[in-house]
Amino acid sequence: MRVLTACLLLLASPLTLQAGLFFEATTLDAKPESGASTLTVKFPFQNRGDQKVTLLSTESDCGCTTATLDKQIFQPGESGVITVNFAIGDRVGPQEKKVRIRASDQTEPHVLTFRTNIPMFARVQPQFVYWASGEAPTPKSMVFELVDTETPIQKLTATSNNPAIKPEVRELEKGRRYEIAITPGATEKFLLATIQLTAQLGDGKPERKMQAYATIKPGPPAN
Amino acid sequence: MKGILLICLAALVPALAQRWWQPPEAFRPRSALTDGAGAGERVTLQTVRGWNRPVLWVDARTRAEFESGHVPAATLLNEDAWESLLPEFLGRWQPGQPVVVYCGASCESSRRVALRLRLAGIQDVHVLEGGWDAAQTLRP
Repeated sequence: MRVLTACLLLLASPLTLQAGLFFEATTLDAKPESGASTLTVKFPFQNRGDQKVTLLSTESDCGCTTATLDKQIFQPGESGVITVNFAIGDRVGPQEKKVRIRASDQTEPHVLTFRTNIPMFARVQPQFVYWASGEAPTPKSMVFELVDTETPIQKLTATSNNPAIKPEVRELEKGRRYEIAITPGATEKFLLATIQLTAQLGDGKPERKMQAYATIKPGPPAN
Repeated sequence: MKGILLICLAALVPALAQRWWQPPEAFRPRSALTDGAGAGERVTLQTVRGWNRPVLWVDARTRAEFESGHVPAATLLNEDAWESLLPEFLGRWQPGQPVVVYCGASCESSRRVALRLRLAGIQDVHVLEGGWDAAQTLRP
């Protein structure tokens, strides 16, 4: 009998150590709305232990992520939701963020992870060009390439916020790839210009904007 | 009583074994993909000190964290407001100047900022090992 009890305890012990908060999923994939500035991810859970659980604190691995709790104490059998808000900002591409929830049911935190992919509309490479002070004011190029839409560009325009820097657009591949040649008037003095790139899309879709930069600097030429 | 104690101790064996083989996620070693840079771009503070040339420090934390303390002459550049912060960075960066990015000790923002700087066209970009915890020793 004693051996049988020991065997049962041996089998059950890892499970009993995990009793308490049970999350339906600790890792979630989330998709942001197009153009959204925030993404909200919800992690439902239930207290499956036989004692009340107090949520003590939350901690995230990024200042862009905050977790909110609808309340702090959960009785046995009670359910709740941890809501995680992610400020997208100027992020692009795949993202993986973690939130650690400290609770009274276990010493280590519950780790909640969400993954998402912020679509990149287009990329410009390089995003900036520069001339050393006194370098010949010959044109330098960037390539603008459509990434995340099936809708081709109808027209791409480039404007500089500084009249001493002139951008010129040339189509490399219809509706998808463009070269932007940038020419400074002179390279004697420090200068920083923002090149606003505006893409007009078909199918009635709103225009999209991106920035690139051109600057004149002291020091040796490197690009 | 002795028997019960023995059973309890025996019951701990698989639980401890499970913890050893499959530690809770919070205690698992982190991979380079989620916790920092690839081996080539990470630098220690000691390495940076040995360069003997001016470094442009980039603080990839939030504005609030930056304002509460940062490396002297560091510039704020993060993905919260990349487009509005990049011109400030470009205005201060000099051709050929190495860039060292730091964020909180356990965040990955520095790796992402370093990657975006490279995509923007700056090649000599590094990520500080130890992040802000290490960088704090540079404060006056």
